[in-house]
Amino acid sequence: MRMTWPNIVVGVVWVTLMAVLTQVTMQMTQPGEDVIEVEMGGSGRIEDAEIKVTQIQLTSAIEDEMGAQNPCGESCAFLVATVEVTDHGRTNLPLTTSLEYAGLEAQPTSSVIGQQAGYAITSTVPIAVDPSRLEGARFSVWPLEDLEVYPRRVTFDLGIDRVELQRLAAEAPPSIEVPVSPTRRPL
Amino acid sequence: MADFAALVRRLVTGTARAWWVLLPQLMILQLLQWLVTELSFRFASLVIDISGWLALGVFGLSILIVLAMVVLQMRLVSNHVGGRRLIPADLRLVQARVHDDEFGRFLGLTILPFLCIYGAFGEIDRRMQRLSQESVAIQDVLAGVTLTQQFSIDPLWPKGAFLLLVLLVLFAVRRSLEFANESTTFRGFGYLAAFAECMFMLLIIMILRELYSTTEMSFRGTRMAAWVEAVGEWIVSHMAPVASLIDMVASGMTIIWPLVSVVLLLPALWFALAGLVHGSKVISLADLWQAGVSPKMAVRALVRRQAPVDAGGSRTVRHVVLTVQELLFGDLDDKYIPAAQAVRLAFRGGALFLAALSVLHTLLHLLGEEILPWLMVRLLGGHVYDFWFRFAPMFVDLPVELLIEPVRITLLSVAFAECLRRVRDVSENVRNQEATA
Repeated sequence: MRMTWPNIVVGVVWVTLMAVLTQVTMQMTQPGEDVIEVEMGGSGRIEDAEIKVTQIQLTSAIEDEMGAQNPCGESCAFLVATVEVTDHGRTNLPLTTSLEYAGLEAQPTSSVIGQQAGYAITSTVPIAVDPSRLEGARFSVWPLEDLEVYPRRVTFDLGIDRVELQRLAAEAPPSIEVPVSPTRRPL
Repeated sequence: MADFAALVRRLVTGTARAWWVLLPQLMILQLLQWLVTELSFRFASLVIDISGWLALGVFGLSILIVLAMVVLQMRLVSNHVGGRRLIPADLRLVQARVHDDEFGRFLGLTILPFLCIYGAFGEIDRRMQRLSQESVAIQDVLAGVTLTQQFSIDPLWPKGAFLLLVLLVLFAVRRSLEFANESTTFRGFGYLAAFAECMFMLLIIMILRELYSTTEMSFRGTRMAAWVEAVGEWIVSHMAPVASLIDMVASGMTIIWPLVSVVLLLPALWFALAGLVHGSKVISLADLWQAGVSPKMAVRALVRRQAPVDAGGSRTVRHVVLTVQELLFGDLDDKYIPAAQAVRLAFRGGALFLAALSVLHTLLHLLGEEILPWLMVRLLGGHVYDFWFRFAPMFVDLPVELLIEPVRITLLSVAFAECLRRVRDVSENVRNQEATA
């Protein structure tokens, strides 16, 4: 019952250990994200929306519907991803995208892609990249929300290795049209 | 070290046994607590646009009912583990005479540490945030009114003055209800007084929060702030070691303080609450025992303290003075001092006792607040916020609360009984020494 020195030392040691444990636990239980890894050609789900990257292309310029060209510049190219979002349910979520490559995270010019309940929506997403460093690039899609608890992110391994990169460069069209509105197909 | 292990073992086995025996009752009370919380959120979010006061009333009532469930669980465990039996019969008679053993009074007594815990550890903020989210979700208006907006205090006339007037009225109503409870047999006054106390404290917390942020914002950009900044810059340029030391201490405090509060302050405050459910007289008794007063003398001192005061002189004047004194400062004796004594008891129960309580409480706190919710969320997988908003109370909060809260409350009651036993032993030793002498 009395505060003797050995008791105080034992008490302080245990309380310190608990403080360390608390710190470690709080660090380890950070909310984070539920990342779903998908191979190119496969699809991942966020709630009722099924997301698929149907095609990727490289180009040096993108053009709008009026035909106005927007070149990327020297040692720069646009990686253009065609993303299809099929929503079988009732959720209407704005989805956002990004590309990770060579330790960088690149955002598309317009990162929000179309999604609407009851439709399959195809969006064209151009991202300015350094084409020589694209090996192992990963394309991510996740819901754009102000508040989050444990959100889901679908990450596509675009399957870009050296051979694929050479193929993409060889087959690259001089420019790709990026429509302002995505194309919609009712389900 | 062996003493520490034995103490931890005793607390763990005592908790496990009591929890197992009382499991159905504890679960029902915990379930009720969850249900009341959820219903009050729905109801308060529906009425918040109509009247902020009504929403605050629902909010306060839900907090009071949550506290009532906690107090009931603690009383249940305390009766089971023999905490009540440690209170001498003479003192129980005094408690009955001065209504110190009534449920309404326990609520009034425990509301202070309970709201301290809720206020200091962000629970009130979380609840307010949830209330505004519910309001937006239910009424589907992005400009939903929040409680903070409804009660944002303007230091200038008339809103600040109006809120101060409300506080004064609440204080007067509460004290009158407490007097009515003490002088009549109608127990409802006790519950109404506890509700008025809860509203009073909630309003004070909200006003203090608002005043803090208003003052902080208005301080920025003033000449005074510029002076403080200039002094800081002078220290950085002329006394680099002092500046780096201040920086080190400040950054150390931002890491250490939250840990200290979770590991030491939180168990001590909850322990105080577990002690206060036995009545303020028991805390005073434990204090006297702990100070080495023999058991009989301690009870006698408390009984004597309760006897009516007759100081002579003009009876009418004296009576008026005493009544005014009781009206204005009775709170100190009745609530705030017992709460402070109860917290002190946790710190004076011995280094090993405090460490054992800290270890077990922190483990349960981490399980209930961090680890299990984290696991449950991962088990349910990634979802949009709307999903969590709708289903987290049912699939994350409820299972975790049902699993951990009754165990934690049992531990606190078992720990208080153990502490009471230990201070009584100190007192018994004094009596034995006196007898030998």
